[in-house]
Amino acid sequence: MLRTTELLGISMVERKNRRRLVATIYVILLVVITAGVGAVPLLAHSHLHARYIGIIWQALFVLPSFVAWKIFHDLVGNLPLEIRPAKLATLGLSTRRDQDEPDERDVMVRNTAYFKAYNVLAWYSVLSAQALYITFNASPKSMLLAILTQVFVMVMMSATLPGAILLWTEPDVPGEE
Amino acid sequence: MSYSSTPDARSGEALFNRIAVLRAERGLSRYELAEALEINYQTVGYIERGDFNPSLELAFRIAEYFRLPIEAIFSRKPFRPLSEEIYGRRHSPRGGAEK
Repeated sequence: MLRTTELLGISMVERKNRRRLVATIYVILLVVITAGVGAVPLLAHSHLHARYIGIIWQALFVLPSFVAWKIFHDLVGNLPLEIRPAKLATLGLSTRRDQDEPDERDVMVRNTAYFKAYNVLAWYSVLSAQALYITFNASPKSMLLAILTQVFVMVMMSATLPGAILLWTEPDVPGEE
Repeated sequence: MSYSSTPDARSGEALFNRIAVLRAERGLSRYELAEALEINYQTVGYIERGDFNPSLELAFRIAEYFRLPIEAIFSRKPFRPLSEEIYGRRHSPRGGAEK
């Protein structure tokens, strides 16, 4: 369920536009991550203090992830289903529904998006653990790099995947009519 | 295993409905119907298009709202046009004769 159907003047009503957006964002994230990983040896040999190198490297991962999360958040709203304290306090007697309160379809599609994202993350963690096992005999520096990269990718994916899946799978949005 | 109530015609889950016709007949917008049913207007559109099968509870709420039996609004088989249902009963296919 989309909270807004427009992003920077581009209509998000049609699924193909949303899919283009999701694909573009993930391609950019992939390029950034690759650049980040590639930049580590350069940064390691530079005269910069280790602390600044860490900040630059984190910024390379965290900032684009945050921007991607913000775009998805603006389109699909706050993905985690909120508990409504007002409704709990009145034991459900407050019957009027808030404008943004999820209805049964909203709950279903959001839960499905979370479930699919959880599946992807579970597979990713299994495969990345195998990759780490293979590189176990590598140098400590490359081990640290591999672990940090995987942690950042996990954080990025967990923040953006549910929204991306929702945008990818939702059919064309019907009009208000 | 299906994790959603997104209809799948191949598995026989498709549920047909007359909500769009009833809404047009009563001059209601999707937004107005959604307000009355306390759901999102997008959900009304998804139900009308057959992209989402409502829960039994919501289906009954829709039936109560339109003051019609649930089977007049939802069906597992495609609906015949209302005109055909009304006039088809009165007239034989060859025309003229009442049943």
